[in-house]
Amino acid sequence: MSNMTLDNLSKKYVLKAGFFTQLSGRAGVVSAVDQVSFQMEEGEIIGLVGESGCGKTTLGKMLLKIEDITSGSACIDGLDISSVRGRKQTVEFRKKVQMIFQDPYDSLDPKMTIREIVAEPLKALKLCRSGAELQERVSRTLSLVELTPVELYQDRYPHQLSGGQRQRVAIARALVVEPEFIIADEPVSMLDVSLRAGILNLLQRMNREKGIGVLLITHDLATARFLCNRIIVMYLGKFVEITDPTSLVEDALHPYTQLLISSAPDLFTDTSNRIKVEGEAASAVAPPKGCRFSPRCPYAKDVCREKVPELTEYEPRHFVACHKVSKDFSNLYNME
Amino acid sequence: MLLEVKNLSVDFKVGRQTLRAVNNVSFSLGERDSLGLVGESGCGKSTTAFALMRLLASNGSISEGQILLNGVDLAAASYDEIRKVRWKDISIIFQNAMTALNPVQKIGDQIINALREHEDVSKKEAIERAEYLFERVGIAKSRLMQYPHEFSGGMKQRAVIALALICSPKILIADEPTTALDVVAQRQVIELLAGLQDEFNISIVMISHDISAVAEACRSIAVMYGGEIMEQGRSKDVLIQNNHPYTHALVGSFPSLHKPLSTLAQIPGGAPNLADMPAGCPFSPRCAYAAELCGREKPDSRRVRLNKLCKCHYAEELDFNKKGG
Repeated sequence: MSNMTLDNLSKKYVLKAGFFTQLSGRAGVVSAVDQVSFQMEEGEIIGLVGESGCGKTTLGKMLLKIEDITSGSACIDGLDISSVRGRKQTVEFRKKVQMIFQDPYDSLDPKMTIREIVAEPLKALKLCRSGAELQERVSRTLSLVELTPVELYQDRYPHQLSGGQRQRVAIARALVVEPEFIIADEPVSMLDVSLRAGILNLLQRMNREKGIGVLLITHDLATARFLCNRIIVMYLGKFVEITDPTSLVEDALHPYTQLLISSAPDLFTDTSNRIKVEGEAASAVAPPKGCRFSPRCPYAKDVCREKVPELTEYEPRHFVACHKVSKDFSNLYNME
Repeated sequence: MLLEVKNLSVDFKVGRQTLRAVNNVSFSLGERDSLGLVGESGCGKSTTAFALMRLLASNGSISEGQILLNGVDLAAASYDEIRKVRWKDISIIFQNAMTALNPVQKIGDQIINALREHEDVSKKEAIERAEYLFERVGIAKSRLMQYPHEFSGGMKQRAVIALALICSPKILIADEPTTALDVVAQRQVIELLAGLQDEFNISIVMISHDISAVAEACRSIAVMYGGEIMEQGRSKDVLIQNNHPYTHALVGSFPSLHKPLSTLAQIPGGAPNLADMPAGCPFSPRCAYAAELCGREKPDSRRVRLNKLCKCHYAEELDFNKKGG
């Protein structure tokens, strides 16, 4: 069981610039993730949804210590990620947190057999005392992800497997160290539709049976709705809305969430009266002042262009960062 | 009919084997019509589209059938004849706009070169036409002479659409035009294609694995599996009132924003191996309703309800809507 707390977490990248420009502090800064806070409960599946470039993958990488944290803090199970230093602590950390990458065609070493791929984390983290124990854990994990009979699959190479089977190997590699928390970055976007369901069902089963917490990073709202307990909508480095899937689809409050839901193509709904969409996501290099969505927002008023809206709890467990719905500002918003 | 494809088959030579990637496919396209080809990767949808423009790889060839464009058979045309047809009559938007543009040439130059290769126009006129199209697809004309890396993903996709339309073709083939894009950009591209269809009087063949995007963009749809068209008809008739078990399974595995939540159905097994196809229906090894007949005998394509074409022995008996599925 694990929980995760983000507190004003930020990531800034300094753009490439000349030496003197950097020295004078005038180099451009991309604020990829900007002061996000969130409290994840034990055994939850959280969806992180947003357009490409909104910072969702950067956030995932920070939680894995692949990217350094610029400011703020992230704790997993009470362990502050930025305090993890040195080999011993890193090994402990890697046992807790694992990742599933987007592309199963690129993320598996083509020269290793399935057994070697799945055994590698165990060897690297020195988790097994004997070869027999190693084999036992590999077999157990492969049958967990339904690559059975194990004898048939474990000596194959990745190119001999289909896309869905490869992604199962990638999941087995993450599960073999028995982590408490998995970050899955677009785990099904490279797979065919008919295989996606199998992977999503597998992640759901891992969560229910083993209580593994999952952060699902995706741009597909329908996938997030299917799998997640709660969904975070991200726009240009900011969390704009956090709520459960049903309320997200039925009464989304943030204009950006409403736009996303209205834009998703769907077989079973009438899509003729959609919300109009203007322009493209602004650049994170020079984000708009005030609310970052304000240049595209149909309801934007002066207050939105001046003041950054805070993420506030509008209803129990439904957080929104928008002046239009916030109680304190509704008067101000209506006055103009 | 603007375009009629009759019994088209495409073979690829791989080593000593000959693999049939497209098997006996027929469809037609009227003026200002739109057809979606959907299916999983490897089902032959892109190969069908490439065959229409004779863009198959060197080991591939059209082994049977006709591609009639205004009555002229493209399958039998010579290289010079086909060169005249490409871009003037049929143009294509390639999969993955991120890499479809030449990174070291200005986008404007790429568009103008394509136009001047096919039409005898002055450079000034070519620039004017390119600028008009840029504005039409929603990019400021001042950005015409920029490089691809200066554009965002959605803008590159729109620039590729402008490039495909520069010679005012009659048919536009769009190979996964929205797959690499976000929901909002995806919707903008679909709306753009629909608008352009009315304005420039073009017909669209759209290829995608995203059934909901195709349902939105296309009037009719053809579901492909293992190189064959399994079910064909008007989009909503095919996708909502399925007759073929494969269409039903495909739609069922798609998570939707509004459908009631339940466990998603996975289609058991993997995509068919072209080197080892079953003797009967290609979908029979994965089909939940397969009977002994299905593994033995290939079903013929025949008319079923709602004027659809369906290739299943039990198309009439299987009524998925009645069972509440």
